[in-house]
Amino acid sequence: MIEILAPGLAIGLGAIGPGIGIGLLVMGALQAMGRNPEVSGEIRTNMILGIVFAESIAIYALVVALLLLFVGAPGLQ
Amino acid sequence: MRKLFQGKNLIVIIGVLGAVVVSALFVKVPLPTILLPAEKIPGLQIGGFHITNTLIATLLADLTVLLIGLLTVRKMSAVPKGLQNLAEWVFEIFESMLTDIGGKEKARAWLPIFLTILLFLLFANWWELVPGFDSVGIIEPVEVAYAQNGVSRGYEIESVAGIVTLTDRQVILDKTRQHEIKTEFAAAEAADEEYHPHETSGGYVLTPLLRAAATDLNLTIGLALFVVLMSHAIGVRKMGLKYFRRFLMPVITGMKPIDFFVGILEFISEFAKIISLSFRLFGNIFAGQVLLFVMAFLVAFLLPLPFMGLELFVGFMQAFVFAILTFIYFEQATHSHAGDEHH
Repeated sequence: MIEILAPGLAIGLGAIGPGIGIGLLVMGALQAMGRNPEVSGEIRTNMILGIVFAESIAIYALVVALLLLFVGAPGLQ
Repeated sequence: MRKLFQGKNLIVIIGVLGAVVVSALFVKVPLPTILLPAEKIPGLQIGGFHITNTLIATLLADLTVLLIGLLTVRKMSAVPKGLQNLAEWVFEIFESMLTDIGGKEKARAWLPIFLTILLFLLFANWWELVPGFDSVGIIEPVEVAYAQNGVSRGYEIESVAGIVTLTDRQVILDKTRQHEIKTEFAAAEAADEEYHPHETSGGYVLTPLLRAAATDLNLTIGLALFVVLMSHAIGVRKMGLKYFRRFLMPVITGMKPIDFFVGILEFISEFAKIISLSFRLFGNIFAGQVLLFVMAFLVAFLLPLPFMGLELFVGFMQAFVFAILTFIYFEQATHSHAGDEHH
């Protein structure tokens, strides 16, 4: 049971922070684009870069989840 | 909008939807075996060194970059056209981007390494989307696969038009059988002979010949180590031994407590760089691969298509992020630490 629960919790809890972060990031970028539409191209590029960095934190959680799922925690058998 | 659902279009739409429903109901794709370490290809080893499928994919990506490079420089002209035009366009875009970050001199100096990493990772990631990746390989009994890679779930096989494929009927090794195989395999290893299971359950496992290169941690950690070590080399070349001041703050500046902690943080952040670079790339590509597997497993027709588009984007983005971070780390290494200025 715990073998199934652990990876689920790892990715589930780990995705909360990046989710909020990406939301805030896009909010800021969209407000900036609305205020200065003439630089929206540049803002979009930086926004996507920022999203990738925020997303990679969720990916770390995913890696931990996958490790738990396919390799298993040592001493848990 | 109304025209879309008339005449020929309507037939095509209904046909596609019908195919999706039929494939969802009747075409069953087995879920590929998902393994974290790269699979060793059975029977392929050079002097005790096992060739893995990610290694072959890495070489394939290398060859692609080399081939495109050679094709580009084969016919050079003052007025570029074709491939040369494309290459110059790519070159100019990234040169101007790097100039914005680090200035013209550094952009010129490190553009080759930037573009090498970018193109290599781009092709390594995009190769994953080519049909045949993860699906063409060597089929072996699940007992052998369990002994070598720890796979306990196999599928029955059937032959369709001369090609052997896996069906969706599962064969799962239970705990007692797993234990038997382990002891048998250990005995065969000790006697230095090839392992043959004395009975087979009829389940088979596919070991793909090719698997996306970045789904192997050996590649991503190796690349990240190279980048971080190279950034230190660049720092030492620029500033000599003064470069290490940023890590040895207390010795140089006379033991201010804050500097001591800054030095420790700088030191730790070097290791964090290696981990974040390698796991970001590995995690994204591995997760994308699993996503594609699962989507093809749910509905084999049309459903994986949007996710392949997503993977196209993710593959480029991760290659780009890796390359741009390489440049940023190199650039940071040439700055003397802020604390050095005031003494």
